[in-house]
Amino acid sequence: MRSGARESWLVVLFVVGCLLFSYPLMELFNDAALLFGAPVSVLYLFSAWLGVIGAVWLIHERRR
Amino acid sequence: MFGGLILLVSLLYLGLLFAIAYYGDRRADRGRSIINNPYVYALSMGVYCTAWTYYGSVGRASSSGLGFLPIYIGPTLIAVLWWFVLRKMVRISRMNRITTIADFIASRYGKSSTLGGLVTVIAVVGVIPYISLQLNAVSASFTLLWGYPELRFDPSDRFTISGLDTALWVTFGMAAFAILFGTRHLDVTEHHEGLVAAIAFESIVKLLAFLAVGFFVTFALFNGPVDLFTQAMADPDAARLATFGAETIDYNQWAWLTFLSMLAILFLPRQFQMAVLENMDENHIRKASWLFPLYLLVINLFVFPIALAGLIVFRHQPMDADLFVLGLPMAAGNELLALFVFIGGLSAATSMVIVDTVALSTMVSNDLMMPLLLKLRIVRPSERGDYGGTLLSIRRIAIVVIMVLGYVYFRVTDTAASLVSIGLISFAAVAQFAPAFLGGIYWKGGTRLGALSGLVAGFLVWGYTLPLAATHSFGGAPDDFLLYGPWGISWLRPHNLFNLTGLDPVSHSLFWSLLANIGAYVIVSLLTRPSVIEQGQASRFVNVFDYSAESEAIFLWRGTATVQALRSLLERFLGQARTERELNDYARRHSLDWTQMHQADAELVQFAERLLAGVMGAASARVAIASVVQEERLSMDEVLKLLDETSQVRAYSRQLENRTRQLEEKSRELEAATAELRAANERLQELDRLKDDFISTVTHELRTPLTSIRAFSEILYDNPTLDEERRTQFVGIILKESERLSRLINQVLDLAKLEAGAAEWNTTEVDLHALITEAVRASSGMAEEKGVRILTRIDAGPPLFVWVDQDRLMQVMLNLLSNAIKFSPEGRGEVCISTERRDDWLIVHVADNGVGIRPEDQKVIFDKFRQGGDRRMGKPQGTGLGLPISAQIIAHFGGKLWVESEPGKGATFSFTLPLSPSDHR
Repeated sequence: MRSGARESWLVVLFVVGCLLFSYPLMELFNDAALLFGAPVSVLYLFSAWLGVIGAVWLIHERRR
Repeated sequence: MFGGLILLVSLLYLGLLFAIAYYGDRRADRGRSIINNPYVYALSMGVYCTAWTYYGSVGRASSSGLGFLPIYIGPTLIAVLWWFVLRKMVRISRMNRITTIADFIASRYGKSSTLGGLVTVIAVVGVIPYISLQLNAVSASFTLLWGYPELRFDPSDRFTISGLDTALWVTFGMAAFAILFGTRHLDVTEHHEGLVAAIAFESIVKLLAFLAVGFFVTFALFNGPVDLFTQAMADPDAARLATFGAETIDYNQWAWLTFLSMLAILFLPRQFQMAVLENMDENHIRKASWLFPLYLLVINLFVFPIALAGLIVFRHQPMDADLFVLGLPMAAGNELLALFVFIGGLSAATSMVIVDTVALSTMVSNDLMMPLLLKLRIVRPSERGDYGGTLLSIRRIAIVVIMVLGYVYFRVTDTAASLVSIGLISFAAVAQFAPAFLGGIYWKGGTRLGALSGLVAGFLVWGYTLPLAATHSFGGAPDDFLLYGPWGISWLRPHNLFNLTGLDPVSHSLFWSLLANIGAYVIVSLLTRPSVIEQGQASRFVNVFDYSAESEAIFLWRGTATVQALRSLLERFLGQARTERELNDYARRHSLDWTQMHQADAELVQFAERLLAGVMGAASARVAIASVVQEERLSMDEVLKLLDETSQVRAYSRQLENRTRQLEEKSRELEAATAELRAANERLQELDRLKDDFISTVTHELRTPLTSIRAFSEILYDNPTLDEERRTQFVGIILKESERLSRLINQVLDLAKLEAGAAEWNTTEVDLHALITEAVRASSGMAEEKGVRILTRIDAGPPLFVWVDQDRLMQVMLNLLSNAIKFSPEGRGEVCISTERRDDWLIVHVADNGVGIRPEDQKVIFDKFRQGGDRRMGKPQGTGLGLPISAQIIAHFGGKLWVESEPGKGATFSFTLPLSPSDHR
């Protein structure tokens, strides 16, 4: 990954992360119903969280 | 008995921490650091997770549902940007030998001791609730565990177990531990390797303990998460916890808390200590920016399940939700796990207390007390005395005072307040650093006065809306002050300033305090002029990546100091041994001899100041240095000049040099290429012109015979009755012109072939004399016709061999002979062929006694279609291609064709040929 590109991706990821963890998107999953045995809201938050972490990993660690 | 066990295990655990720290320091001394890797770095940041996370998150989750999460989502999001922000903070701190966050802000705004002191006060006051939270949690968990196997928890008897106030004992115990642990070294810029190793270890312990209780609750008390969630969600009250809304946490509060924790992770003194000051390598930030969030995620996995389980298990039993983590294994009778959980909580609390007290006590000694003592002349650097010990004493006292203040806060505020609500107060306090700090590293316009006013404004609003308000609410019941405002002024209500409603107290406080803070910072900054030193520091901070590591020193100083005065100043704060070592290193680096040097130069003074800054902070170091040197004030112009010269020039000069070198190379290449291109272009244009000339000439030459052929054909066609004689004459002309035409075309093709190098050559050894005889014989008909005699004057002797294409050479000979015959006078013409040998060359001359060739024509006749003589003299007698073709052929053989002539005396064409190797005798 080009060094300039990595920096751009980080900024993009930050913006996406802020969107994932704020009102309109969170409201879509604001549901206590169980999916795979866990409430949809909990499932959403933790998978989005893991997704952001994975993306940071991808940006920093791949093709250094 | 069980109480004694708890104490014993706790002490053993703390002893283990000491062992790890000792080991870490030893390894560092031997140059084999155990913390110099990104994993320990990320783990040491786990100091973010304190008793708040360990006990408080579950409590928070049991009332606000998912409202415990923004505290960890915020850091995850800001960690995405760490590569920009944190790296810059690390770089600045390293280059300026920053010791604390107060030092950082003070340094940025011109090493202002006022600002450093203010930041220290805010940090200490702001972190006190946080420390009280740890005391609260440890004493509460201790009280609960002490009562085992009974599961009784009554807040009122927390303080009086066995007639002792447990929280007070915990306070003193932790203070003693922090003193022993945190104030072992004087220089705070050197990495606390042992401390970092111990904190990283604590991060592992608390994570394992929390995961252990999480697994126990989920898989032992319940049949896995599915069972737990299914049972819990059957209760509508519990199901509500999994959703966002007014009863749990609304999106507004969620957003504010996320934002708040983004700032907290950057500016909490302990986070600054671990992430910035203890950073060993900027590249560790890469791994940390996903490892640390991953740590947060894992430690939070079981928070919600434990909260739900606690609500189910303790449905009919009074239990503080903040203690579910410990209460659940106790209720299940698993005493070993309960003990492990308690140790985990202890590690979470101690890690926070240790790092925060180290950071805060350093701030108090370096940025608050030392400048004060120096200004009040209680400490006089110019006098004899060891002040290193003074600094350490100040730090130790500061730790005790901070811990006691934490205890006092704990006693005077609402004991029923949840852990998280206490911690958030501290978050909001350190958020006040954000404008001055972030403004300081991204905006050169921020001034000292702007930062001061912003911090004061934000701090006052924070103090009024959060901690002050917290002292007016006991047992969860707000008093009149909160409900109706001071003196009944409703718009001054601490939780509803200007009658603002709809925000929870923390978001409300954050909004107003940051509004006041940012507003004051920006407006005052714009209204004030920065001082000289501020401008210098602003540039160093904002453009830190433009400075190379070597260009540390900007000599914004001019003055006089003796080496002796500097040396004794250093000895007083660093000790004699270290001073000696540092100065000797310096002398070696700069090839100096201290015995020869009495007057210190600017660089040495700068060096001494940086050394001192590592011990006592930038602001104090400045005051201390000022006490031993006579400073001359630099004018603004001089400083700007210096800044221009040093910072910018130095920063860019290397880049510029490289760039210039590259450009020069490029332009050289470019010039060469341009010259080549120009030459090629000229050549092309020339060729193009030649081609045009050639084509127009060729067509012209072709048209001449064509025209006559056509004209005579038309005459024959139109006059069938023409008499026989005329007819024969005309057909003869047509025939002759046709021959000329085909000859012309053949020659054009021939020339084109020769020029393109596409002609075929059958080179053999040829006897020149035989060839000349043959040529003469072939031309004899033409010569007789015109009455011209051909004479050959050839040396008798052995035959001369040349290495040529026989047909081609014959072509040349015939051409030269026919030209000579053509231009010889009719009847008395004489053509003479002679050969001569000169070294390895043979020269053949063909001479005539015709009109000769004018000097101006002698060159031109070798051009295509150019013939000698005046065109007006009549119709050309050749094609004008014979000589150019001949010249090409001779050139191919390696010889040369030329003409010598005097007008009226005939012309001599000569060509040379190299002798065949066999003739080299």
